[in-house]
Amino acid sequence: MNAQHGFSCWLVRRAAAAAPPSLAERLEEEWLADLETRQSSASRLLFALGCCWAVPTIARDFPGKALAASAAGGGQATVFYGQHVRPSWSNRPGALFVIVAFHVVVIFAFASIFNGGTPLHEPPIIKGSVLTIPRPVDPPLPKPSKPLVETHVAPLNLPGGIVFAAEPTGITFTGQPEIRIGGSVADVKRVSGGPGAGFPNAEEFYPAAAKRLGEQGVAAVRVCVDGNGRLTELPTVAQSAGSARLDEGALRLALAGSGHYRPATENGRAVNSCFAFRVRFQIR
Amino acid sequence: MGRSDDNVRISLQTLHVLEAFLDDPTESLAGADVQKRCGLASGTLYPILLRLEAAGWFTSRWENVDPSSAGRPRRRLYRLTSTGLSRASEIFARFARGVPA
Repeated sequence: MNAQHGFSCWLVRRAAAAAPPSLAERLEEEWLADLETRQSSASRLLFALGCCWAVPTIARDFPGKALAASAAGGGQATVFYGQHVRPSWSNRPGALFVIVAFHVVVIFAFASIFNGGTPLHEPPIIKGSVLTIPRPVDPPLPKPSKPLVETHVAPLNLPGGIVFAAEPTGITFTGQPEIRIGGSVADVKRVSGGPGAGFPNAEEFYPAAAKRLGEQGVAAVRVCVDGNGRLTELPTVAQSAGSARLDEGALRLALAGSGHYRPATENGRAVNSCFAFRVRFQIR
Repeated sequence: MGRSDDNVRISLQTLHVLEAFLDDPTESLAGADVQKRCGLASGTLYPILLRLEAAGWFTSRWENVDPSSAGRPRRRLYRLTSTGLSRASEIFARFARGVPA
């Protein structure tokens, strides 16, 4: 019999002793016998706590009542129970306190186990401060002895650093910008792409409504094409013509021209590239 | 629930206890056996057993064993009386008809 079992027996005896005097002996023997059928320590403890819980109810139910009880030998007897005086320790709040304390101990034990076997403790207070990280200063770039990019045409300044030339005349496209990238690392001759052979006639994409309204202008359209001159993404307006209708016409033209773009080349080899070209819409 | 029947408060827990005995009305059961069948806590079960015994629905006796030779205390065995059987049957029949006890 371990200590916990002994504690359960002690609880049962105390509970029975707190019962009405005429029932105390019977309840003690009955409860101890039923306690023996319990297998686990926790079950025995709960049983004993339940007995403590039952005593006030039993005392309340049998004040001055007669209960036909059997004698030890099995014969019938009538036992009278007088007014029970409830001991101070066996009241429900006391049993409730024991139950709550038991749960707290169990929860604390589990929490300690899942916390790596170390007792629970307050987390350390982390003190923080704002650090000012100095921004590194980029060293000045060395000035090249000769320009890295040379163009034969006047560049068109577009967002994203796109450089394209070939001011179109009318609504056709001209110009073959040639860019030569020089330097000590590599010597790449790059030719930018643009509208190529079989490119649709821009006149066909001049919106009729814009014509009626007399809208004219130049829209810059940015396209990305692969080595076969096909669009790799949807064209966008890089610079508006000042009219949504004209911009839309330019986009439709750029879309219809997929497969007819002249791809950019590097050392004569077609490569994927993005470039912009202008579309002039002019009423003649 | 809670309605008095011969000074016996018929609660849901009381019905569970009666149901445990109605499986075999002639059988004598210890409190531990009843607890296994109906799953009530000891704090609830024993007041009900005593209450039903006081009302004459149960009779109880000590188990016929010698504690010294058995090495354990005697168990208290409860059994339905004829009154308890008829009352319990009546209550469950009322429940079956949908009439509260």
